[in-house]
Amino acid sequence: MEFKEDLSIFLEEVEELLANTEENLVELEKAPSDEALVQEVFRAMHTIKGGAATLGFQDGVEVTHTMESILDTVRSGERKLTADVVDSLFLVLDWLSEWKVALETQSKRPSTQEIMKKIRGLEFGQDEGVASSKTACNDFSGASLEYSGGEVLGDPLGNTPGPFLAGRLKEALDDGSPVYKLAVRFRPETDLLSVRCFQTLVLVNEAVDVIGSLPSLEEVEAGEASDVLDIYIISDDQGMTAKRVAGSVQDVVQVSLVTYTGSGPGQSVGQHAGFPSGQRPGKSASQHPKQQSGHRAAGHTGQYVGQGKDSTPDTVIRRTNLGRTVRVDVGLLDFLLNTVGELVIDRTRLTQMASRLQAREETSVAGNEIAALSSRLQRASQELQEGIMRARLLPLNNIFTKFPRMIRDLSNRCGKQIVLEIRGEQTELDRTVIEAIDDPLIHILRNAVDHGIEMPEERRARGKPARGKVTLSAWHQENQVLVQVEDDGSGIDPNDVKASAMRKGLITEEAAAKLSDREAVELIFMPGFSTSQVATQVSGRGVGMDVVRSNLERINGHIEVTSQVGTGTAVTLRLPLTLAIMRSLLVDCSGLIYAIPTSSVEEVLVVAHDEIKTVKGRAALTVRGRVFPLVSLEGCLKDDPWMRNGNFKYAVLTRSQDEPLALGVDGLIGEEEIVVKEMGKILSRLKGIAGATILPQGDPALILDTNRLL
Amino acid sequence: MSSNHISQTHITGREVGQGRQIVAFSLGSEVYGVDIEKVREIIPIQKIVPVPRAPDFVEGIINLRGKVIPVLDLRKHFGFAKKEYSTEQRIVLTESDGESIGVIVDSVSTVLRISQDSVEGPAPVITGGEVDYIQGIAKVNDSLIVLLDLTRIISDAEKRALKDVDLASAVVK
Repeated sequence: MEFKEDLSIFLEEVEELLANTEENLVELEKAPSDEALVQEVFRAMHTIKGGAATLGFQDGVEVTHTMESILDTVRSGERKLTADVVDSLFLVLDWLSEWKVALETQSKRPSTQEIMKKIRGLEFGQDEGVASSKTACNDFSGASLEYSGGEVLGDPLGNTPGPFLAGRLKEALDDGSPVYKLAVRFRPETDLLSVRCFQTLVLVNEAVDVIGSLPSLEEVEAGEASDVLDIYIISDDQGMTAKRVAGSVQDVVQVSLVTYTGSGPGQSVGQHAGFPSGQRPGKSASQHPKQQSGHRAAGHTGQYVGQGKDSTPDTVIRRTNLGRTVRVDVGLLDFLLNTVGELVIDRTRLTQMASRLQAREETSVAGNEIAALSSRLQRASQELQEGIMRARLLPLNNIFTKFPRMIRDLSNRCGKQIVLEIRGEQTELDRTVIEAIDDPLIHILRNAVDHGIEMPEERRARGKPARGKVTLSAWHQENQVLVQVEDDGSGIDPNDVKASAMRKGLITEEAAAKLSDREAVELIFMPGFSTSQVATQVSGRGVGMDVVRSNLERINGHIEVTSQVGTGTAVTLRLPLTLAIMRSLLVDCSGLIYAIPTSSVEEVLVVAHDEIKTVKGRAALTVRGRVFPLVSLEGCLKDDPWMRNGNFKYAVLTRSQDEPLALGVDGLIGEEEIVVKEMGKILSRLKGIAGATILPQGDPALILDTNRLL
Repeated sequence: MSSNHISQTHITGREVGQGRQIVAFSLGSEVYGVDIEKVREIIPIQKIVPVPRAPDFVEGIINLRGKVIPVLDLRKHFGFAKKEYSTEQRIVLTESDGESIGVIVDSVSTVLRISQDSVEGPAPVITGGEVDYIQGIAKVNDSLIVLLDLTRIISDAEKRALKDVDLASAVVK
C-alpha cells in the first residue's frame, strides 16, 4: 500500500505538530489574547486534518475539524479563549497523541465519542456564563473547571431514577433510542430555584424528547426543587441541543451529559464543567472512574489551574520522544549547499594566495601557514558538502512501497496474474531525483503489466508459469543509481514496432528496413508512438515513452530498453545520485569553460587530425570500429555543428539522442564536482544547456546537456 | 491594445505631487529612470559569461555571491548599438518573481526625487509604440528622463524567451 510511507511521514509531522501545539498552548494560557498563537494552533489542527483526510483517517479529521471550528470562533473574536477551550485543546492533544501512537503501533485507535462530545459541547458553547462565574480551581480528576463557590455540589451521576422513570427509560432503551442524561446544576442559593428548574425542564422539553426527570416536573411544580436536576432525554444529536438549551437558563452553572445505558452510572460524554472535587479527592476518585483512568490531561489541568496552588504532585509529565530525526526544509538544504559552494570557491582563492606568498622568500612562512590552513579548510568544506548531500538522500522505498498495490490492482483489472518483486528499495537517491522518477516508473510498470505480461492461458501455452513476474530493482553502479523494471512477458517484437511506426508515419519503409533490432525497439521512444492499437484502461493514452524519456533526461538520467521476444523486457533507468552536485568534465571551448556531466561522457580522445574521416561529407571518428560523427562544441553552440573548425585538440565521446557523437573541444580542464545552480526562468529552457555552476575561480560556467546539444 | 491608457492610469495611481525617487542612468545619449524600490543593488560591471541559444537581449550570466544571475542588455532590448566594455557600466539588479535579474546600463548618474507634476504620459510618437514599459517622461532641469517599468521589461523578456524556446522546440520536432 502506498500509504505506508506516507503514513510514516504523516506521523512524523503529527508528532512535531503536537509538540509545537503543546508548547503553544502552554504559552496561550499565559497570554490568551495572543492571536498569533491561536493562529498557530489552528494551523496545526488544520495540517493534521489535511493529512488525516488524505490518508483516510476519518476519526482524526472529525476531531481536528471540530477543534478547528472552535478555534475559528476564537480567531474571529466570537469566543474568548476561556479555560475550557484551552482544556479541551489539551484533551484533543492527548487524544491525538493516543491516536498517533495507535496508528504507529497499528493498534486499536481511541474512540472519538468522548472527545467529540467534549469539544462539541464547547462548540455549541453555552459556557459563557460558566466561564465568567468561575475561578480556576484544581480538579485533578479531569480537565474540568467549575464554579468555585466552595460548595460540594454532589455527584453528577449519583441520583438513580425511581421505578416509574426507570421503566420508561428501559422502554426507550429497548426501542433502541439514544438516551442521554442531562445533569443540570444550579448555583447554590439560587433564588427561585424551582422556577429555574421548571424553566429548564420546559425549555428542554421543547427542544427534545424528555422521558422524565429527577426531580420530576410534578415535583418541581410542587416546589420540590434541588440545585441538581437530572433530565433523561432521547436525542439525535448526542444531547447537544438539549445541553445548549439547558445551559442558557439563568443560574445554571453546569450541564453535563452522559449516555444513559441503564446499567451503571453511565458514560460521561459531554461534561465540560466539573466539580470541585479537588476539595474531596477521595470521593472524586471513586466516583469518576472514567475520568480517573489516567487522562494525561490531568497533568495539563494541574499545571494550568494549579498556578499558585500546591498542585505539582498532580502534574503528569508526558514522556517525550524527540526521535533521532529532524525534518528540514529542502530550501534550507539548498541554501546550505550554496553557502558551502562559496566556501569552496574562497578556499581555492586562499590556496592561490598561499602559493603567491610562498613564492616570495620574505613571505614564504606566512604562505606556508596559509597553505596548511587552506588544506584543512578544504577537508572541512568537503565533508560539509558531502554531509549536506547525504541529508538530501532518501531511500527509493519512498516511492516503491506503493507499487505492489498498484500492480495488484492493475493485474486484477486485466485478468492477469502478476507478482511484483522489489529489490534494493533501500538504495538512496537525492529527493529531487526520486520525485522525478515517480511518474516514469508508474508508466513503465503499467506498460509491463499491460503490454509485457501475457494472459495466464497464453503463458501456459508458451510453457511459462501462469503467474507473470515483474521485478523492480535498484542498485548503485559507480556514480549512478540504476533502477530496472524487468518482466518475463512477451517482449517487444522489433517487427511489430517497425510496422507500427510506419503506420503512424513516424518512419519510412526504407529507414525501417535499415534498422537493427535494437534500434527498432528504440522506436518506442519516438513521440506519438504506442504499439497498443487501442488505448487501454491500464496504460491510458496521451503519455508515451517519449515523455518518460524526456522527463528522465531533464534530471540528467538515461533510459535503455532491452527486450527478447517471448522472454521479456527490461527497462533500465540510469540516474544521477543527485541533481545538486554533479561530477563533470570541464572543457575549454573558445576561451569559455563548459561542464559536461561525466555520466554522459564515454571517453575523451586526443584528436589527430589525420584520423578524422569523412562520411557523406561530414567529419567522423572511428573508435574501435564504432563511428562517431564529429562536431565542434563551438559549432553546436552556434547552431552550426558542422562548422569547419580544425582547432580543437580533443574529442569527447558522448551520445546525442541515443546516437554516438564526438564533440570537439579546445582543451580539457579536468574533472570536478560541480554545484548545479538555477539560472532563472529566462534561461531555464535552453536546448542543450542543463544549468550553470560556479567554477572554483569564481566565474560562472554552463553545464551542457549533450543529449540535446544538436 | 490600449496600453497607453494602462500606463497612464499606472502613473496617476501613484502618489501624485508627493514625488518619487528614481535611479537615473544613461543609455547612449538618453537618460532613463527606474523607481528606486525596484532596484535591489547596483554593482560595477563584471565578467559576464555568454549563454549560447539565449534570447539575444540576454547578455549572459554573472556570479553574484555564489548565485548565478542572468544579465540583460538594455541597449539590445531597445535596439541601440552595442557599446564597448567600459568601467562606467553598471549592472542594476532587480527582482522578478523572486528571482534576481541584472540589467546593464552605460552609467548610473544619480538618485533623483521627481515630482509627479513633471511627469507626462508617454506620447506614442516619442516612444515608438513601445509604451508597455515606459511609464512616462519626466522633465528635470530641461532634460528628459524616460521612466521605465523594469518589472515589465523583464516579464516581457521572459515571455519572449519562453516563446522563442517553444518555437525552437517545435521546429526541432
